[in-house]
Amino acid sequence: MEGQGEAQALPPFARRRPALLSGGLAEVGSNLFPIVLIGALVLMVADVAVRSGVSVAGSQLVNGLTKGAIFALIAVGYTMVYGIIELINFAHGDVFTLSAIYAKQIGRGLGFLGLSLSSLATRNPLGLALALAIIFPLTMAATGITGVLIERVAYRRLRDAPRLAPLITAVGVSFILEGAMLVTQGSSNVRTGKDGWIHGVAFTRGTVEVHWADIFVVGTALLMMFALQAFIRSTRLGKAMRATAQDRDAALLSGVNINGTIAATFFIGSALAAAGGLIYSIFFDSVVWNLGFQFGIIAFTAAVLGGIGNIVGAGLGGFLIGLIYVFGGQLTAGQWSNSIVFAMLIIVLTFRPVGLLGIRVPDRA
Amino acid sequence: MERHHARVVPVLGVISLVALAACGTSTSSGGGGNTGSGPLDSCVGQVTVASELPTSGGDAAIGGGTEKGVKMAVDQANAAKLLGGCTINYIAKDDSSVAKGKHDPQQGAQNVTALVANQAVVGIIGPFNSSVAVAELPITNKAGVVQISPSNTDPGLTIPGSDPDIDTASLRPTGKTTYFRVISNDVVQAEVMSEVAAKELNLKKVYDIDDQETYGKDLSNYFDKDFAKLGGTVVKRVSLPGDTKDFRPQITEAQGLGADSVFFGGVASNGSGILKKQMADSGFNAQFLSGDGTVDPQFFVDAGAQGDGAQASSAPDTTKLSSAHQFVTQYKQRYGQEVVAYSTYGYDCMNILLQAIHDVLVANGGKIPADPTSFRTNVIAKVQGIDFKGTIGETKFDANGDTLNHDFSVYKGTGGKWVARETISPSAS
Repeated sequence: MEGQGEAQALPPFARRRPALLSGGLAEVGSNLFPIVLIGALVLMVADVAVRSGVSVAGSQLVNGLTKGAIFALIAVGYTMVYGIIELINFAHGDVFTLSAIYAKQIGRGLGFLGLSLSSLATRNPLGLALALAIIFPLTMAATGITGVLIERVAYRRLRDAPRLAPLITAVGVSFILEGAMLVTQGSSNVRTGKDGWIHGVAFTRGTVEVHWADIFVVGTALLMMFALQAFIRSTRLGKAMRATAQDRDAALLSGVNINGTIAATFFIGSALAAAGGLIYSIFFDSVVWNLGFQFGIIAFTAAVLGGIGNIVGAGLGGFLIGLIYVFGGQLTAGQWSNSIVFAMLIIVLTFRPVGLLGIRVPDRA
Repeated sequence: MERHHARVVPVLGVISLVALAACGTSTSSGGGGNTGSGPLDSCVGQVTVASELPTSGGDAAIGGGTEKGVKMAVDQANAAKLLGGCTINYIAKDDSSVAKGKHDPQQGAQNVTALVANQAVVGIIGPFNSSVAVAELPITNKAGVVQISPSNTDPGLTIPGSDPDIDTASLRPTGKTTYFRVISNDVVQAEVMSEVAAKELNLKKVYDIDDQETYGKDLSNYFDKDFAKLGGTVVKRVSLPGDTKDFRPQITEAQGLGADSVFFGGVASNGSGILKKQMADSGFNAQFLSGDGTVDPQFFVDAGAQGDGAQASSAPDTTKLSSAHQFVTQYKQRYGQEVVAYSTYGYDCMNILLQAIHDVLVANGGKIPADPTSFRTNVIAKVQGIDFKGTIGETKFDANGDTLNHDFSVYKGTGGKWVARETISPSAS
């Protein structure tokens, strides 16, 4: 959704802000915001470096980036759906959890067929590549299809309903997914059967150890996001998505298959959440039915921080939130990690509702 | 007073535990005891008791296993006609909520409100978690219904002024003691763990993480204080929400601070096993220490083989007590699984309640008291005065409702299970 001169209109909640704050303050805050944010982050890092040493700060940087990579992949799904139908898809966090469970079940299913992904993945690098090449497409496809089904069943008929209706439906879908996972997976953490897939230290800088898993997580997230960006910029379907986001009716008049395009958006957004769910499973080897609630809402914050509707912004927002989460938590003995993230959400909505890179949403409604 | 008293008991408790196990003392096996033909033969009607424990959600393994012990006590008492012609009706409530996915004080308060509103209910076993107890105790106290907890260890629940976060008086609006517990409190537990850490394991620098709950925060507070008193240093104390899944920032920090141990004040459903696994994955070999909230099978579900080596204090392993032998065997026969850490405690709680009810009925001429309020009041008085020899040893209560039995022991993660260490020698090395 880049470079097409699309309207930088504010969503309704944002549009009312300047009036409330009578212009001036919001204007100044809005322009200073990125500088203040980056400055605050640099100060946080410096604080940790001074108090705990550079190597701790370095390790925390790795921790923050890996956490942020997962937030980023989920945030992209939020932002794509918002960009195209202005729906905050609250079920998206649960789609993320669901994908980790799909991955677990696919692994088990293949196990019954005599193909143990885990023993393949832990045998040698080639085996690992093979296991990843099997599990990633399968899980992403399954999750993508689930996303399409959710859109078809729960959202499509409400597309022209007042905005509150699909929003509440989204919350409902979220509860349904959580309930389904609670019933089938039980209420406690479950192992995902990916213990030790990627392990070992890749390299050491000073005393900062960077593990292969860290590189894998960040690398996969970046790769996925670049691929998405290329897809949206240069394919026909990507163009249809941009057109639909910009003006659905005009796109329809120009012959764009709106239903198909929106379904594709859900497919891609869910598949990316699945990539997030997979790297989460490989990284932590543990998933719990309500994991998506926290991850979803933090990723949503990341999407707002980057500028909702803006894919590059969502990626950037994800990484920034990951860093803020880790370094902010360090400053406050952990107690305020969540509070800092959500305070960020409020600050963004107040002073820079367009987010860091600007909102990309349809210029209507 | 209590604190001073508590300081000497860990060693005594351990000694008494070892003595009990070693001598094979044959105390009464509980089960209510068959009273045979007696004063209650003419008793007519039904007496209702209840339990209020987290039996689904993240605490299902430990809470459910406790409830199974409670239920066995009821069934055995009914089979043995403990109340003569009267039967015991049992209501089981679950304080896990879907919203939290584990124990929830709100849900607990709702449950006991419903239970006390039911005139037939004369006593409640539970709750399991101290945070839930804080929400429940004022309700049952006002209603004048006895509560006996198998597992609450927060001292503030019974001892005024022992926990800055809890106004003990507000838990007893009537001023009377209606809440009892058969397990000792966290002050004692923290002393056991800090002695093990400082003296036996020779640890110097601990990084302390609590789970932001009443129980976890206090346990960490007491541990910090005791560990410092024994010459150790608490390099940092952090407080993390229960849904934390990524402890790497804290692990990195602990490594940077040169910690040789990590203490987790909290329950397994709040991530102690995940923390232990991530410590191992990060190559951080500090000793993992925790309290009874972590001595839960869920710890090993989360930590896997990397849970081994962790040490945590908990209620004595009653499976090793000869007084519990019969119960443990029967439990396994009935449910096809091993007892959990609190099954025996739940079993004894219910037996104490049933014994008290039995005594009230006898004193009332073998009849159920006509006035439900005085029935409830009389049961409280009988529980207060009880001297019960059950699976966990002898239980008597002080005026605050605390047990006079101060046993705790230390468990070690071994082969994917919590195994109670045979002996503890806090003054070793």
